[in-house]
Amino acid sequence: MAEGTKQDLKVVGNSSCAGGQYRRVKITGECTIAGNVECEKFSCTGDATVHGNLQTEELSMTGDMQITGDVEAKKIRGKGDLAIDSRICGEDVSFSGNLEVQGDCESGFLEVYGGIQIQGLLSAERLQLRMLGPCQAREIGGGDLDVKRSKGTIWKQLFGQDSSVVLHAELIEGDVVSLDYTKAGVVRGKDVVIGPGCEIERLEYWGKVEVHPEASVKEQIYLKERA
Amino acid sequence: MERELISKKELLELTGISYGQLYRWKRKRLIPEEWFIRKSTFTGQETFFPKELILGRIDQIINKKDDLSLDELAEKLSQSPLVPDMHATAGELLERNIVSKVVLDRYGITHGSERGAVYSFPEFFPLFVIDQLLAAGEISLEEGGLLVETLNEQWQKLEGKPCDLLFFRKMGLSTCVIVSVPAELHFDKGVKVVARLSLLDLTEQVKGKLI
Repeated sequence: MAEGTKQDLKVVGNSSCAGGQYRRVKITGECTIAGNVECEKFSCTGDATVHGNLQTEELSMTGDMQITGDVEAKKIRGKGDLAIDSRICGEDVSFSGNLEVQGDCESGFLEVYGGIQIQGLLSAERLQLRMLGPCQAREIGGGDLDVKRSKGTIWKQLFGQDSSVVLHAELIEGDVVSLDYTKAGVVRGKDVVIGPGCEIERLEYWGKVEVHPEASVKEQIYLKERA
Repeated sequence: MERELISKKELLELTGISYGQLYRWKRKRLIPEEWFIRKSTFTGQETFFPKELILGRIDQIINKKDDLSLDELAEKLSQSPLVPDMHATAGELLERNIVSKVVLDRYGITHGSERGAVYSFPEFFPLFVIDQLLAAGEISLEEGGLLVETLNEQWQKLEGKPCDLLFFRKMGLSTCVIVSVPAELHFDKGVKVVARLSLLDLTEQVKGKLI
């Protein structure tokens, strides 16, 4: 399709349609898209399923979305539940809710309020994770990594249900790392702050380090050859 | 042939880049996904890289990132890994030490090696390959002709699949074969394998010299 003739796709209500190249895609209600979608802006309020890859400049969603293929988006803004069966690559991602990715999640700036389940690598130049539920990633890597409990956890704490609000990861590597309530095998970084509730098997650093008294670090190694 | 690997930790130590940079370049596809090799070690899973390729690539990125934006650089580096869409004139090939004058004179597309003649990647790549072998003293100029011919005829058919070029001799006869990797080859005792080259690695080297 030629550049100038891309159509908008608007869905209101319950329907299904074919994939393709569009200018703007707007879904209000429930929609299943069969095939790859390429568009400038994809917005969804309600429930959307894409059987294929999604490539867009901007993805904004409220509600439920499932994508079976790869997602490539410059900007992502969302609230709700986003499940991706493959991988996701974004520049600027801000999301509240639950993010589930079967493959890798690569991003420039990534801000999540809620929970994440990432089976592969989670990479971000700047990660800001505010946990409100169980979080899990096989491997986390990036520049500036900041993991904390969301303020909302205080309610869970009152009812003694905050023990699940923890991040599990095999390996965390970053230049500046600050972690709270994290259970990890290896944490490696230049400047590392280990906050309360952390259980770290092995910590390797070559800059500054700070370990909270309520954290446990089994092995702490200073890599002096890199400092 | 086992490639030499380097761990992520050693790589950062050696090159002085940060985790942030490494992951940014990965995301921008400046470093191909296939180069991230996960292996088990005593501390758990670690990531390794093919040493020569990654060091070369990081060097290119660091040197070029002032002139080109990361996106432009990614475009140049990530073109179809085996047959990039690149052109160079005979003069450039000589200046950038991709092909020597001897080879260009003898196997170049125009006789007498005019410096303005434009070569596409599939045209100059075989010349680069034999140039490497000739420089190492492993083959003769005549045998080079055989290689150029084989590469010209067979290489296109591989359509970007990673493959190795093998050159071997038996009883003074020489021949060559292109195999897609990974493949194990077993010869009879009289065969001497003169050279086994990974065409993918060589492609990377040429790309590095041209960008």
